[in-house]
Formats: sequence, structure tokens, C-alpha cells
Amino acid sequence: MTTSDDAVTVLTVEAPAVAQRRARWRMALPVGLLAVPMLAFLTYFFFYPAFILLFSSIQTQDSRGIIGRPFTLAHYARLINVELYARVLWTTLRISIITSALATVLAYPVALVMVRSRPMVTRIITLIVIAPLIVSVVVRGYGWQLVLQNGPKGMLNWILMTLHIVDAPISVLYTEVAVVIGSLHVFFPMMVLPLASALGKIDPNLEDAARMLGAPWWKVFLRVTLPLSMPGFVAGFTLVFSLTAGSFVIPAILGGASAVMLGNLIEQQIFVVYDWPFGAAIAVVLVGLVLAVNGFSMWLLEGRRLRRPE
Amino acid sequence: MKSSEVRLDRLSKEYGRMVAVDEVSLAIEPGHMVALLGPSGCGKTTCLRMIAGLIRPTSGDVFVNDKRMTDVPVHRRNVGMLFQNYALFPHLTVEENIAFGLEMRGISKADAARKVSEALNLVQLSKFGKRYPAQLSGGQQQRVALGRALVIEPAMLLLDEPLGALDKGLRESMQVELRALQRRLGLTTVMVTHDQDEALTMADKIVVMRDGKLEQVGSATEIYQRPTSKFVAQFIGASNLFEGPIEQRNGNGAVIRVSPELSLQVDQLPPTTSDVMVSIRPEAIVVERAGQTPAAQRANSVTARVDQAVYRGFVSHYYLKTPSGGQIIVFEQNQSQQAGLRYAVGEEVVARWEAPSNHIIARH
Repeated sequence: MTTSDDAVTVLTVEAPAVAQRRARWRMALPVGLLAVPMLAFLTYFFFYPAFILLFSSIQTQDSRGIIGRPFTLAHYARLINVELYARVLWTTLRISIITSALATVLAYPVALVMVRSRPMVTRIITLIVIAPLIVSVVVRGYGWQLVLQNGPKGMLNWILMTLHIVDAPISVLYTEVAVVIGSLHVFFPMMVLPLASALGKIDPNLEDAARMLGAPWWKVFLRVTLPLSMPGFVAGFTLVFSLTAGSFVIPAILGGASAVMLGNLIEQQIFVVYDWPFGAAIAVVLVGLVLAVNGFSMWLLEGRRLRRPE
Repeated sequence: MKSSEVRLDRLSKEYGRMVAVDEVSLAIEPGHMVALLGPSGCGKTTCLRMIAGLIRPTSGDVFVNDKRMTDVPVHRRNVGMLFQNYALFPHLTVEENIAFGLEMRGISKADAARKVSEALNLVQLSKFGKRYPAQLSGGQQQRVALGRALVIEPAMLLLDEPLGALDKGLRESMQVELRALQRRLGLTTVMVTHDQDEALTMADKIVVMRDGKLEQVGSATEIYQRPTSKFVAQFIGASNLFEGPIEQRNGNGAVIRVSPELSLQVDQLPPTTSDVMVSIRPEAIVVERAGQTPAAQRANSVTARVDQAVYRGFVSHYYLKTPSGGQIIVFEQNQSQQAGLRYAVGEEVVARWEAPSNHIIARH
């Protein structure tokens, strides 16, 4: 890095283009400085702990609870080999995929209405979609607990039995179904908003053109609207998947013992069992899972983008 | 390709209390190209989209070969359309774009491939089949859109400001090309444009629209030489409009007094109204230096001063002021060896024209 005095002397002898580039660099420098506080914060409170986490996951904890050598991959092996833990991993994957898939199916119609309606309707629907975000996840979790309560007094059961749809109360609470319902409610906006944004960017003339070429509405959707909204779908699916896979509150409140997810397992290992290296290993696997899905979706989007221009 | 006859019967579209299209009736002969021309907001695009079936009319009907189309859904109408922004599917290749309509009709892969390559030949894009629309220029994209619209052998073709996004040179060559192709295929075509040159260049019949209503329907020459209203006279080309009482009737014509220094001899039977409006095209007027003609006042002739002069290549525009303050616009074709403008600003000149150039405007 040159001092400003040096820079001035250099500027006088350099070719104009180089001087210009350098001047622009000197302009850009203070702007870059604006990011420093946040970068420092993230380095100390995020990257550094993340590194410690990764590091602890390959170390051994002795009988006094001190983490140190020898290095080992035993914790990872344990997560996969012990059936109880492996099942938690699969449950997490299953719940996340089902939630994201259901969110997609439910979000498309909502996003379409949001984009295609008059401004007033769009505003109202957006408000309805976003409004639940104001309420804390914990409150919403307990709300769902009341609705889904097992036994004849639960709201859902009461409605189903009053309408004579079922004769005996069904058990939804403390199952994977309850976790999926809760997650769907909490993360639904994360699917609708990117989808609506992608749908809004589609030129309405394209759909008119498809209709004029002989496509009935459902073919217009399958051949034009759906493929062109893929960026929104991929973004939304990735968001909902990542958030569901990493969730802790919803499975803790609605899943109980039968739908333990990785987040709950980590909490158990860290705060109940005090097995920090194993907890760290689970956390690393969870982060790896989410990163893999994100990486895959980035690759999908990049691939699509690369296919068009030369 | 079979030519279709298209008929609009009192077609109307209302948005709440706003009437976008007001009882438009129009018959389009098979194989003709008709241009809906008018300023923005005149209802021409709404009219086109109602013919396409993309907008449902509030009342009235569209007939194709005497078959009522109003209730036929868009995808069963078999109508080709070009959009101003081309509306090519960005995720499909040129070939896939053109094949789209064939695929929707359930045509076999082999037949479709043959028709696609024929269509590519027709629009001279054989080498570009595997490309994506984003890799083509604007002109090429509109050719793809044309190929895509023609490959389905449509009953008619609708053009929504199809060349509006192209630059001038390309637009003019595309106009000629599109017109030649349309004639060759005998395809009944309706075009929407706000560009009068485009309408004059391409259309068999021009429909001038204003505030949702038909203002005048006729061939290019009819619309240009015999505008029936002040609006058409001013919207198509430029016009000098004069108004005044009838001074004297003679034979099949009359003398109209515009101002103390200007009277017009018209060869048409004037209407019974007291005041008559007359339009004279700027290119019909001849400018001469003052003093070359006898000072005695004659009809269709006036002494004036050059107020502004604009050199525009093959023509010069002169804006003249008469002693009583009236303005006269004159377009004069420049000679190839002429050095700039023939008359300077401030110069005194005489403007004169022949009686047949005076055209009476029926509706003011």
C-alpha cells in the first residue's frame, strides 16, 4: 500500500488509464472500509467459533471433560453407525424435504395470485403472507400445540369429530406430521416471496404468446410459467429446506420424542450429556447438509444462466 | 394458405366507466393487410387483443369467415401474433420456439422438424436454429417470432407494433420484407401502429382510430389525399388548414374567403354550412420570390414572409407568415446540386398552389 504522497508522484508519471484506475481504487477504498466493522464482528463471533466447532468435532474429550488430542473421526462414525442417531439424521432430511415440497405446491397459487392481481389485492395478500412473521416462533409453536392437541379436546380433533369426519380422536401432536405442519406455517413466506418475485419478472406477453400458439392454460403453466419461475423455486426451496433442517423450536414443541431433529440432538449432547465433540460433529454434519443443498441450487441456477448467452 | 375474411361487428370494450373501444365495425377482405392507426390510448391495441381473444369484448362480436369467434378460447383460434417485444420464450432455442405451436397441435416429431426447418428458411434464419433468443439481434428475434407465428398456418396474423423496437433503417427494410411475405402468403393481417409511415408503407387499408372510435377508413391515398376530418388531416402527414365563409359559388365549386389577402378556389361542391374548412398539403405549395408574379391578387396565392426555414436533406421545410398572421407550411424538394436553402428567413415570397390541392374537410 502506498502512502498518499507516493500515489500523487506516481500519478503524474503514469499513463492516464492506469492513473484513472488508481484514482477509482482510491475512491473505492473508503467504501470498502464501511464493511470492516461487520466483517470484524463476523470474524470474531462467527468464523472463529465455527472453526472451534469444526476443530472440536475431530478431537477427544477425556473423563474430566477437557477437549484435546488425539484427533479422531469416531464422532462422525458414531452418528452414522448408531441407529438411534442415524434415524435422527434421516428424520431431519425427510421433514425438511417434505416441508419444502409442500411449501412449493402451496406457494405457487398464492404467488401467482399475488403477482397477477390488482395492486390492492396484491398488497393485502402480501400482508397476510408476511404477518405471521411478526409473531415469535415459540408463540406460534404453542398455538399449534393447542390446535393439534391429541385427545378429544384438541381443536382439530373437536372439529373433525363434530363434523363426523372421524369417530375417535387422531394423534397428530408429537409426530413428524405436526413438525411438518408447524414448519410449513413458519417458513411459508420464505417460499412465497422468492417465487412471487420470479413470477413477477415473467413478461405477461410470453403467456399470451403461448396461448395464441395453441396452449391451454395448464400447458402455458407447465411449458412457460413453471420453467421461467425456476430461479424463484430453487431459491425458495433452498431457504425452506435450510431453515427447516436447522430448526430447533418447532420440533422441540411439536415433535416431542418421536420427531427429534438434528438441532434437538445437538442441544441434548451439549447441554444434557455434555459431549461437546459429538455435539460439534452433529452440528458440522447439519451445516454440511445445508451447504450441500445451497451449493447444488447455486449450481442449478448457474447452469441455467450459462446455457443462454454464448 | 387459405385467406380468411374477418369482420368486427359493433365491438366494444368498457373498463368501468371508461370506454376503450366504442362500437367498432369493420370488414377485412381476405388477404388484405389492415393497419389500425392512431395516437396512444385510442383503443387500437385493445381492439387487436379482442380480435386475438386475449381480451373479452364487453359487447359486439368478431367473425372469421362468418364464424362467430367471440366465445372461442384463445388457444383454439389459430391466430398468429407478433408482439412489440417479440415475446420469444427465453428458455427455449429458436427451433423449440418455432416448434411450440406445432407441439401444442400434437404434430409428430418428424413433421414438426420438417415444418420448423421450412419456417427457418422462410425467415432466413436456417443457421440460427440451435441458438437462444438472447443470442440474437432484435431484427433476428422478430424473424423468429414471425416464423413461430407462421408455422402454425394461422387463419390470420396480428401485428402489435411489431417493428417499434427496431432502429429506423432495419425497420424500413423489415416493413417491405414483411409486406412482401404477407402478400405472397395471402394472409389476412391486422396491424396496430402509431407510426403513420409504417401504416402507409404496409397497409392495403388504413383505419384511423380516435378515442375508441373509427375516425376514417380507407386506402393510403384516400386517407392522405382526402381526409374527412381535421384530426385525420393533422394526424397523417402535415396539413395547412384554412377556415372561412363562402364568398361566391361558381359551377361545381366556390370561392372561400380566408383573410383579406387570401381566398381559395375549391373545385368541390362545398357543404351548406356557412364556414368551410380546407386543407392543403405542404408539398402542394410552390414558393416563388415576390415580384415575379403580378401583384394583382388571385385565388390560391398569398404573399408572405419566411419565418423559419429548415434544411432536411432531400426536402426543405419553410414556415411562412402571412400579413394577417396566418402560418403556412411548405415542403419543397431540394435539387441535387442545390446549395442549402433557396429562401432565407425574413425574405418576402409568394406561395401559390393549384385549385385541386384544396380539399374540403367535412368534419371540423
